[in-house]
Amino acid sequence: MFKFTKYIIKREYKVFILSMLVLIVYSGLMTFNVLPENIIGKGNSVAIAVLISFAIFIFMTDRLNWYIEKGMINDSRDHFMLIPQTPGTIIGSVFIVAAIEIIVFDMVTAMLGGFDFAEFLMLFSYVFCTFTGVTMLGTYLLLIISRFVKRKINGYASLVLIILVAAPLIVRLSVNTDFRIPYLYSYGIAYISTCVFITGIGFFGLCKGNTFNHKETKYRWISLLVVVLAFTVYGVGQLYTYYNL
Amino acid sequence: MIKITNLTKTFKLKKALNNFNLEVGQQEVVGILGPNGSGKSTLMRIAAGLIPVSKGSLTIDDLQPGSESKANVSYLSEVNAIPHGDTVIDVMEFYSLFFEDFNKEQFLLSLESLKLDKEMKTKVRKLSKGMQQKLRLALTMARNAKIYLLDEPLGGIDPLAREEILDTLIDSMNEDSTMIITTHLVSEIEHIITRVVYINEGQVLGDYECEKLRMDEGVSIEEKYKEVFKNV
Repeated sequence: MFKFTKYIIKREYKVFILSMLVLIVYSGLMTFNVLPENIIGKGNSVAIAVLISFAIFIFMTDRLNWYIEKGMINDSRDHFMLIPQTPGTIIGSVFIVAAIEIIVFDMVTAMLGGFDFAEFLMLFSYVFCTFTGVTMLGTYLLLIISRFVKRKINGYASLVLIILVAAPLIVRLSVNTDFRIPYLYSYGIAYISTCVFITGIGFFGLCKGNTFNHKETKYRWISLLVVVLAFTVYGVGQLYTYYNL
Repeated sequence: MIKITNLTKTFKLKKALNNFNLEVGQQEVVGILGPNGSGKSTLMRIAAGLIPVSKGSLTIDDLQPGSESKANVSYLSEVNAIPHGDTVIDVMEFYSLFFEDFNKEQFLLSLESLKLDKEMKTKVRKLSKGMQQKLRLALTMARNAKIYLLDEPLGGIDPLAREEILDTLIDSMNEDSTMIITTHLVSEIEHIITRVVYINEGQVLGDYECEKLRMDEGVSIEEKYKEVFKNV
């Protein structure tokens, strides 16, 4: 896993630094009130900040999602299928790199936004769970569509699909998230459990869809276990929220 | 080394391989020949661990194709799967990082003999199709693997470049290794292979030692190909 993680970091660090600079410059301008309240028409600077964070999130998700084998015919990901690493290792590496990127991004956001440690942890949980959910379900949907249309799907279609999966989650998050109100913590559990559920469904679908196409039959049981666990987390999360609100 | 028993691969209703049986031993250079859609590439993709079998088994040194067997198998795919934007150096580093048996010096020597040594910083997708194929072959052959699987190594290559590629193939072949080559260009690989397997509709139509074919029957591989596929 270390080798593949190193490989992804080597390929992605320039893009990461660039995205980081955009975030720092914009967050800095926001923090020190350099930007006027109403920038474009009726949109205010907070809405634009959300939009920029959303764009960066989608961009990074799409780039990292590229490394995950889709099991499509003649797809460029065949390049990664040749190496002696299991798909689980590759997905693990993608999630490690994502976690590192999200931690760094959120640390900057937290510092510039004056968040405390609990808020920072909550922000990280939100973004990381959204990333795993979008990546796993997005990949599974790509697999289904590519099988359905019997051809590989190019990068732009992949990006559109990621946006479609991510948009409802992000909208739900941005509409309901106010890091200063106590009820966020119980609402957060409902959101995170939803993301865990989506991740489980995506993982299950990828196992069934032969993305993990090696004769490693343990994936059958792992996928079943993951989906049962995900469903349990979802149920408990929703019930907990319902009884605490 | 490679043992294929009653192998069947089904894509929905179509059987790409149908009860396919074959055993390939060490040091053999086997040519698998057959028309389009006969199941050659499917067989190679299964052996390379890219797609699963539907029924039967294929083992490489008693291992099922998967992450472990990939360490011993060097596979040249029919299509170029090198990511967009990668330069020749990037791909070399990729092989060097993930394949312990990758010999960088041998790769650089192959590039020199294929006149690709001045293209190290060029993006692979910007190279001509022939040059891309030469590069991919150099990468595949620079591994000291136990088994080489070459799927259409001469596909889309002009006759002059084909000679260069075949020379590279012969020069970089490890004597202890096993090699399986699929191609439509029967006559071109005649002097490389030691054994020929003719396949059609996912089944073996004929399996011959090349030397015996020439000595006993007095025919070339191409002539035998025409004879085998005459009534198909």
